[in-house]
Amino acid sequence: MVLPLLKDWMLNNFNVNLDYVRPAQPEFSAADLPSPVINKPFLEDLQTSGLEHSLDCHDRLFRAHGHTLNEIWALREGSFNRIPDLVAWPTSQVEVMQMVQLANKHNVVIIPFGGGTSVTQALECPSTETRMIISLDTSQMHKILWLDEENLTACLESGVTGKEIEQRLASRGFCLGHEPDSYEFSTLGGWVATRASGMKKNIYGNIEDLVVLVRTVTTRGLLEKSCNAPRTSSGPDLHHAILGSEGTLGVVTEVVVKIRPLPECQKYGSVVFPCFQDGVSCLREVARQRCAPASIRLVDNEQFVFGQALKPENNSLVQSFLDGIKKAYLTRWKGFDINKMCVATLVFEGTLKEVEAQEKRVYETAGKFGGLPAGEENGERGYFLTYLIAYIRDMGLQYGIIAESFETSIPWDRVTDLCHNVKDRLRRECKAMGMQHEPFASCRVTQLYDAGACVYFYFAFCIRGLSDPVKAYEEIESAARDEILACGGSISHHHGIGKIRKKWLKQSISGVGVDVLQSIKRTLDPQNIFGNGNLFDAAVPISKL
Amino acid sequence: MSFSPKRKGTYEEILHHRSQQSDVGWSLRSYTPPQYRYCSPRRPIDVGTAVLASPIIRHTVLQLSEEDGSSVERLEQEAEAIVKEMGHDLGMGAIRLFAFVLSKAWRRIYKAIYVNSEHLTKLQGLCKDYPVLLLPSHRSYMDFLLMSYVCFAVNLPVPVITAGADFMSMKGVGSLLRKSGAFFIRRQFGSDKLYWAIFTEYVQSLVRNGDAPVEFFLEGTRSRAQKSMGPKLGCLSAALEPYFKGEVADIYVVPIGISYDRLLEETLYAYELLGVPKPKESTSGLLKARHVLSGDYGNIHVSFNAPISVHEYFRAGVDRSVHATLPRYMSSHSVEEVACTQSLAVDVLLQQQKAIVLSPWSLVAAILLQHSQPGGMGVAERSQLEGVGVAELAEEVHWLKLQLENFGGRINWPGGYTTEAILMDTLTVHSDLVSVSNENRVYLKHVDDVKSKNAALDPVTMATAVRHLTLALYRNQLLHVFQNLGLVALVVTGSQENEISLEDLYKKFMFLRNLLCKDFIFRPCDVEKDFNGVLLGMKHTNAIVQENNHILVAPSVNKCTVFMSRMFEPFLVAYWVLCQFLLTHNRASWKIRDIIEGTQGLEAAMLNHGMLHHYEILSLELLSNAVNGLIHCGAICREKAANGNPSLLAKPFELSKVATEIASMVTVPTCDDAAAYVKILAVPLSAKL
Repeated sequence: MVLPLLKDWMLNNFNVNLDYVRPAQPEFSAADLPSPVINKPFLEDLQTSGLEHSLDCHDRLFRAHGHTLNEIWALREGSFNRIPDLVAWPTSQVEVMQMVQLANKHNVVIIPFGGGTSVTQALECPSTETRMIISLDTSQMHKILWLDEENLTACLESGVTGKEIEQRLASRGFCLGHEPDSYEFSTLGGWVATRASGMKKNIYGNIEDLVVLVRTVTTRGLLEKSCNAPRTSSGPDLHHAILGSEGTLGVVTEVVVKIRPLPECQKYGSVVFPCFQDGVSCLREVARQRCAPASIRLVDNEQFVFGQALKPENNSLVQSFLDGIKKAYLTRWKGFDINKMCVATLVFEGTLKEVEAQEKRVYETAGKFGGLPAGEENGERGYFLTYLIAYIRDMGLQYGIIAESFETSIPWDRVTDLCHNVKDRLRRECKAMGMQHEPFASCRVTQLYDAGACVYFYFAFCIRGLSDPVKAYEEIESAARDEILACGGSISHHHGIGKIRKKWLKQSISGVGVDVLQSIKRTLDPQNIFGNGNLFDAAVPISKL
Repeated sequence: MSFSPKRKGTYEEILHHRSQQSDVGWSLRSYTPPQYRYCSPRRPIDVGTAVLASPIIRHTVLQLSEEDGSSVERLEQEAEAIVKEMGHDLGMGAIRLFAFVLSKAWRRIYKAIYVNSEHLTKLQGLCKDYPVLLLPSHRSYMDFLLMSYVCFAVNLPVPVITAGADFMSMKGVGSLLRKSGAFFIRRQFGSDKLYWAIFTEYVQSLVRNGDAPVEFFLEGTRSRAQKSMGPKLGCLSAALEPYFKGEVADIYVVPIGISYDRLLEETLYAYELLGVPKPKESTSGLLKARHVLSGDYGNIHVSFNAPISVHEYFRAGVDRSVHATLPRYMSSHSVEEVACTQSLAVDVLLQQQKAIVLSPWSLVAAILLQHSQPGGMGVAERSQLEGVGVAELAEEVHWLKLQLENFGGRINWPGGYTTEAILMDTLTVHSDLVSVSNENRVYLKHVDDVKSKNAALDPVTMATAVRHLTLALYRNQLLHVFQNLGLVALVVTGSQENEISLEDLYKKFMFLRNLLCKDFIFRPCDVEKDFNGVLLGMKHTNAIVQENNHILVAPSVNKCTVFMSRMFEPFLVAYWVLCQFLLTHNRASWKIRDIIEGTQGLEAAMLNHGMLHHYEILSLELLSNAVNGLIHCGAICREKAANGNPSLLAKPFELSKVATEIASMVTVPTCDDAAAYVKILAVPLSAKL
């Protein structure tokens, strides 16, 4: 794809020199990678069992990382000091149970691996781990086991990706409606393990709203419920122990989810606002009225301008945007400042009539806050940008630009201040590190709730002159997270804790809360077989040496 | 000769030296100050409306209505009235008018207004990114007009200013001040919850929206004694809350030191300190003050110190996330936030002091008040009768200036002139107080027409006291430079031993810091640092001689330590008399006013009988500080009387300990003498009570 405007944008925003290129290093050879730790008795048992597995170094490397910045950096310019020692591909729940039993018997670590799209270093092998580490890749468990049209439920294996789910359900006239930005690659099991959130949660709900039943293989056996009832009162909901457990308790193998008939009509839309605060006020009103369409997202001015830079055709940024708006509105444009305006992108779903009614209501509400409808095309491009962003990041690295995103959730009254303060903190920390050029700091409000919203930050800076850019990035993100918590935001809305946010967990859920999680962990996994080290450091495992 | 060039180091003159010479042109020039990036522009009246509509006011009204059953409508009306009374009305029209009128008026009486430029560029940039608090020292009525004038002159946004409500009643002036950005706060509103809520929300609304920098005076009121007073935290805590609650990314606090070569209010202050009541601010009073608008008032220095980032300051000590689970309208400060705010306030005061540019007259005043021998006449008295030679005085001034510079003071000392020339210049400015004869001798002028409405002080005492206090005001301006040095000097010169161990010295130093904590601004946590710092300075200037871990007393009693200890002596003497007063009056409980007035009476008697010589100890501010210092030291304790009013309880054992300790450092009347006089006084006093 050709993005003629992007280079100009990069020149303007980062002052990059496009002649300066940081090529990625050649692919790792076996010699560059740590040699595998082999637990011989385990390997012998595994070979006897006939479960599919591999010791190939590239198979292992591929599952040694997610998409966190430092992992991508390690691939491009660095190295890994610990990667899985073996990759296994069970094809069913039964095979997973076999694997876990073997691992438990021989005290071998299992790290479940789904789509590999983690951005919290959740897939990183703890460097201090001396036991053999197995990456349990769920990709061969991708069947739809059954579909129940009467109850609108389906039982899926956990390794199926979002894209596959939607394709296969669509062929039967249904959809799941769970679309995280990563949904091309991310898997159902991964969604459960991280408490994922989908773009269209306003209609379909987040993952915790979608699951009816979850089966998890633990070292103590299978954890499951007895029926597909829509709701039960039977003590604390154990699904919630698994949702967000980030692979520390077991392997999610099968999930019964709610499904919906395919919507008759899907339509994009967009609204421009004079300034970010107006946009936030509008979103708050939409949430108050509970009239949000399938998706509604508000991007700030920085991201709006960036979005324009990603247009495939080569005309002036602003002009091309204006083209998308009905001429009749142009006269009213006087009040808009190109350096302040921002845009909300919309997805409507439902019957034709429903969509029409939704559109009318949303545009009317937006009008009260100075918002003007800005066309379908601008809306669609907004969502397209979401999927593109990971690719653009890789391109940026080539020119010495580091980019990453992080998110939070926060009560309504604090949304605007959070956005201002975090962006300020990002700029400020960059300056403190001696960066000559201001970073690109941008945010968008991506999810609406009754009591608050999810806010997503994009952040990029030019690394020239920095001795350790990844460390710099991590320090800056850490400062930004401190700022988020200070503003009353959460530790994470849907990315999870992984390893990069462990230090704030206790502050977030209290010491007692951590103890509760510890005791669940101790019960389900006393040997710390699921020892990926996410969420918190498990109490020292009892070694069976 | 010109002592007031266009540029002096980093200071620029803004009154006489402008690119635009005409006042009209200058007042009407294009003025485009930086604006806070997230400010949504609004009219002053909209601030009031926003405040009334804010969640905190709505909740306070509902809560009060539930508590005492008053109707919501009535409370809302009350709130509206308060907001109306409070509100500023900042507009460029008034600012330009002031710029014009003040230029005309000030050019007649001031040689120069200097503003340091080193932080201005940074500050202008900061105004775009963060809300800014301007915190000037407060030693004259002029301060806030001056600040707005300076901001206009250097292209900073003109601030909104918290002003005492006593100005409000001045006909015409009140509204003019509103238009120049003042908003009015009642002096006392203790437990009035509605008023408190409106006041905090008003300040916070301004900070959050960053309409303009918010200016207020940390000391709460003008420091009549011309030395910093302990900070009042109400305004600062209110203004910082938006930061604690995450409503703004940061707030920048700018300490500003303002100094005047000559105060418009000098005699007024002296009278006020002696207890002659302050006239109620009135327009006619102000018009009468017009006669001051001729004469020579020297220079003004406005020193902006480096802006302090509240975020950086609080980063380590405060966890803002504790507010995450309460609605934002609920006011709450964590213990850490209160402590850090207190510490910031003290730091700002210290920075103001550091920034202040002293006038050579402060040195002269300090010297004229000095050298009083027990039973003899001080220069103050001598200079009234026989005068002091200019050359002698110049020598002393030069010596003191060196000391001042050695210990970090900043003084307006134009290069290229002899000390004598500078001395003559400053004597000219203060020709109301001193005269120079043809024989080149300096005489203190008499105070005629003494207005004594204070029964405790007869006109003669009053006249001397007014003269002394007027000088003391200017001397006080430089005390902060020597405050640690002075305490060490007091201990050293008072010692009867041959040597003092550092440990003992430190103990006594601590004792004095605690005792004098209301008269001087100290950072409690810096005792050791300050102690070591001042010892080092004193060793390097040969003011003390140290061997191993001991100070040798004989060589350490020298010109420097004697001068410094004498400079601080009056404070201790006043504290001592206060102790004596309390020790001889055996009462179950005291009102602070009775202690102060009683002590003043005792002091007057002792001064009249020649037992004491420091007339400045009659200052009520000093005595009030003394009471609070003794409370801090535990020699007086606060309690609630049966009727619920606060009252004070003297603790004889601790008081006599303090008195003995003081007597070991400075000369006080012998105990027998004192007791005799106290007895004389005790009769009418207890009869009166």
